[in-house]
Amino acid sequence: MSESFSGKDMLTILLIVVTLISSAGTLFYVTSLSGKLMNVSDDLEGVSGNLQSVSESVLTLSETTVDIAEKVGAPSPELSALAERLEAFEEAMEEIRVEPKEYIVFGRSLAFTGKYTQPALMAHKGWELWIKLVNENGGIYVKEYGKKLKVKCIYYDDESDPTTAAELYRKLIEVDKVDLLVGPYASAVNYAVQSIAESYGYMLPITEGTSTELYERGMRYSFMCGPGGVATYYSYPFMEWVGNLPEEDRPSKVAVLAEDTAFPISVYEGVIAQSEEFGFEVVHKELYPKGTTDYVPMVSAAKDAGADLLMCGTYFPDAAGIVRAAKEVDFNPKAILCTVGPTLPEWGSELGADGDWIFSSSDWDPGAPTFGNAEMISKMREEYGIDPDYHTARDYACGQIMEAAIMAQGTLDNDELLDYILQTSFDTVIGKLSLGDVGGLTHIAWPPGYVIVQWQEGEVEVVIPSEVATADPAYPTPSWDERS
Amino acid sequence: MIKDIMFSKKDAKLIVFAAAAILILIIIPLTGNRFIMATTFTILTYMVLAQAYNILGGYGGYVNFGYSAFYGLGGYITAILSTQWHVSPLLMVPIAGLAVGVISAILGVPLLRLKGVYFAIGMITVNFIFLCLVLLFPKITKAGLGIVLPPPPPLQVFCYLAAAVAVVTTLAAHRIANSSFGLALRSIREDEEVAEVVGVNLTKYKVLGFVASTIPAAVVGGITAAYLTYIDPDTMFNIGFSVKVILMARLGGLGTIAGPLVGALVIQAISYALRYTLGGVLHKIVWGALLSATIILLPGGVIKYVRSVLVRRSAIS
Amino acid sequence: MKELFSFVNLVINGLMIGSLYSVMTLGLTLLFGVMGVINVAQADFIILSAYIVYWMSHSYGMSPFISFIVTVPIMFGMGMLLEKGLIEPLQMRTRSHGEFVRMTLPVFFGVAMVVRHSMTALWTGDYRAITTHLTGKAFTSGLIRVPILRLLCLVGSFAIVGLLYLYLTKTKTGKQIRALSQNAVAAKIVGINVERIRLISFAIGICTAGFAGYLFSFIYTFFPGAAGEWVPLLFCIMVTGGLGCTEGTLVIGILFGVVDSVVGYYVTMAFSRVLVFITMLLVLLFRPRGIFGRGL
Repeated sequence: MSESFSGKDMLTILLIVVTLISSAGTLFYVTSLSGKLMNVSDDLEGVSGNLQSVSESVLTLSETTVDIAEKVGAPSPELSALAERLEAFEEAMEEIRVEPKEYIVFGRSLAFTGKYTQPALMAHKGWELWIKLVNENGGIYVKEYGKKLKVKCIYYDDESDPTTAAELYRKLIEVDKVDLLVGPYASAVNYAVQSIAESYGYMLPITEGTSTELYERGMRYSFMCGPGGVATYYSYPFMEWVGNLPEEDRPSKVAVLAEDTAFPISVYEGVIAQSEEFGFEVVHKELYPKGTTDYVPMVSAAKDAGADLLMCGTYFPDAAGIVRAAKEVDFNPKAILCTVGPTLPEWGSELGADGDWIFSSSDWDPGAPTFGNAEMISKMREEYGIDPDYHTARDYACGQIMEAAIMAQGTLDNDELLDYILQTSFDTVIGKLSLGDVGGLTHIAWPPGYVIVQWQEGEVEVVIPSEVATADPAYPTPSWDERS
Repeated sequence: MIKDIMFSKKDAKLIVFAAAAILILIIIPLTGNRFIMATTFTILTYMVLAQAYNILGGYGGYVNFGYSAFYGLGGYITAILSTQWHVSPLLMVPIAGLAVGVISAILGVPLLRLKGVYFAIGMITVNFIFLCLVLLFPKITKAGLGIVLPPPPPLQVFCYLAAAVAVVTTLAAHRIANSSFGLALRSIREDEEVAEVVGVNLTKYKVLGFVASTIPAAVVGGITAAYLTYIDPDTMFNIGFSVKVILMARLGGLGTIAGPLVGALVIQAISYALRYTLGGVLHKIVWGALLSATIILLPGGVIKYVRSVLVRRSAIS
Repeated sequence: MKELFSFVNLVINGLMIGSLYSVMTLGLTLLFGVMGVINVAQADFIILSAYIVYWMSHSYGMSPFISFIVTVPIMFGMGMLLEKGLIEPLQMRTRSHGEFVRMTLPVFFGVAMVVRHSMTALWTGDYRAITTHLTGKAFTSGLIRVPILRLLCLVGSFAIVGLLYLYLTKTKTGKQIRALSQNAVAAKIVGINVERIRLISFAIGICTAGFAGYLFSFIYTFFPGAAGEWVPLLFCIMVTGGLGCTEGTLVIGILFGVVDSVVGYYVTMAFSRVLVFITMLLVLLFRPRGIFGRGL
């Protein structure tokens, strides 16, 4: 009893399948075609504009020649030469290849939805701010095109998902035909995108990805675009500082907690290595899965293991969860450090006084007199009404680097720009960026430069190193009882 | 006159499908446009998944909401083997397929004793258990960090490979559907108790159907892993992925051969169209609404709808 | 001795975490038990309620402690809309009850997507938390610590369960709901207005999310996508306890809370999760109706 199909059924089905495939094909072509059409019409506009100016110059030139000829009366050898030149010029004009380019086009995907939205949006604002400022100045001068080009950027939402991002970057390169790329948010997402950029020969400035995994792969086209350094260094200045405290103030037992994803794992590994370096005992360490909701058990375990220093590789929800859990179980280590979370403005607004005295790492120092820093801060306040954070600063710095490199090399060619960037040291809002290959990692910022910040009574202060500190570190941090 | 075109029905259908598919699929990779090729590849993989899912889900009536578990398993086995042994991932795909076949045969026996909604939800658990297992053995699976695979061969290879797998899976599904195996599955779907009484060996056919649906999923998982060059637990064991595949099979028409293919094409086309025209958030909202609406409004799927229209037409004429 | 107190604290903490788990899962269980609806969007409604608490507090200055009077009615209303808009059409178009049940999953998956991303669109992906003067504070007696807000959750959970129990057993509508869940045909024969009862039961199921979200907002930080982290756990609890069986949900919810707390402490949270899932799988294989479930 097999399914009986008449010939009519088969043909109808075939027809439907073919129609659907062709309509799908048409759909894709249309989406890419519309992009192409836009480019073509832009090109045509440019061409006609240029042709007009050229023909105007030729007209003026020939008018002048006629005037001269009339005045002189008879053609002189110079005039004949000039006439010949004009003819040649007219011929050449026919063959003129006009470069009608108006914009430097960047492409990137960001986590507009999903887990990493908040920090990604802060980064986005930094990047957009730079673009705005550059365009207000008429753009960047690119020698290859002989003029200033404005900047624009095509964005897609990668939903905080690495594989989505990979597909989107392919589209940016193939269909949208962007000139240059910028990396997405989060190490895990950059991971997936690196090989795409590599196979197409596009530079990938990684602004929001500091996990060591990204730089162990020997990718030629990826480079760290933030002077902070790899994630393992996030905790270094702090560990170094506590390590050098006098005996009675030093902690001796460290607890490390981190989310089981690329970036926090690097922080975790860094803390463990540094504990050994500075002579601390790691009494509790735990990597918790990405969807963890309750932090009380692990914080209790840290407390009962006798830890007097709590170091955490976190984003925001877990950092908040850990700090709250510490309050609930009355865990009072001499200090708590959490990455990312406490550098976001809502740390203070959402947690209130509970967020005080927590340390964190940032590669950006708001008070530092670095190149363009004050301008960025005031512009950010003007445009968005909030202060920048280190994500914003990093992406803004990336813009500064791009601008410098493009102006220096006079081209938008990825290889030439990359070579220049790898050899040069840049002044940015986050300080000096220079890239190097260290310890098996390629194209990382070296030497690393992080500052340690601490929330003190609702304000973020830079506390370490003392040269740039705006306040002294409050250490040991007050216990939960003392705070109320 | 059209009614006179009566070849041996099974053979004719097969030839026609194969010819159309091969023609289109040979042309596309030759265009050289990487984006078109990438899209074709993705659609083909979904076609395979929907078709394979259909074997147990459509013919057998056992809805497997944790389908992504075996896709992910195939992907992870491929990735782990290829990085540990330093070989090309595509070579490891057949091994992954076989391994998953064996695993699902073993797991299938107890799992398929669950009926209806219990099976559906039970498979979700299996999916999460696999995910947890990946997280628990970081030394092998690199847990949350994800596995990076060696650089892939050119895109054309993937297109042709996916096309080949799609053709093979469709042929297999067709053969199963028109054999006693398919008959047994359909009888199980209609009424399991009666089937048993009539002498259908429930366990044997259910497990076979299960294995038949999971092997292609594993193969696709492995190929996709090689294509992406990066996998992590979230992408490989994603329930939303299972739901998408089920939607494709349902929309196209459960219990048909052309159904899953059509469904995969339409749904993926809509997915792309939405993503690239609307913004990130809006596209998801529309997608969710579309998902719910489609399930509610089109219970039988497109193919069945088309067929019913044709039947009505021929009845009238 | 300190070890013992440690352990006791963990168990107490586990009870409190677990009671919140139970309340969060309660709606899911009710909806499945009474109507056969697999509401994967329940966690999203919980988060939505948490957002309502947040905005009531930030925009209107309403004390978070009483905001359940806002979240519960809003969720009730939403439940009624969903029932009319989704459940009834689906009922009409599916051939069998089994098919209806299975199809509710993808339908509500779509609902979850819509709710989740609407929240992102409306309120951005920023992380939110409710911090009150009671956050983190605890009653202490020697080495025993009982965080106040978690105790509130425990009390709230028992209150809502008790209330529901009374409603379902003592009131006329409640009894009609139970009748419908036992045997739909017989209920119709006896003269129960099936449509109306279905509407009310569904709305009740969704409004438990309103109450759970209210409790949830005190303990956890949230963002629009937070529901995704909770769905596996809630499902686990429902299935292990028994699909549609409320006693099961309560007991297993609390049990899993204790497991999370104790195992999370002595081993790791990752391991606790695996334990929970394997328990669910074993239950599914060897006792599919759940530990407390009746009749398959």
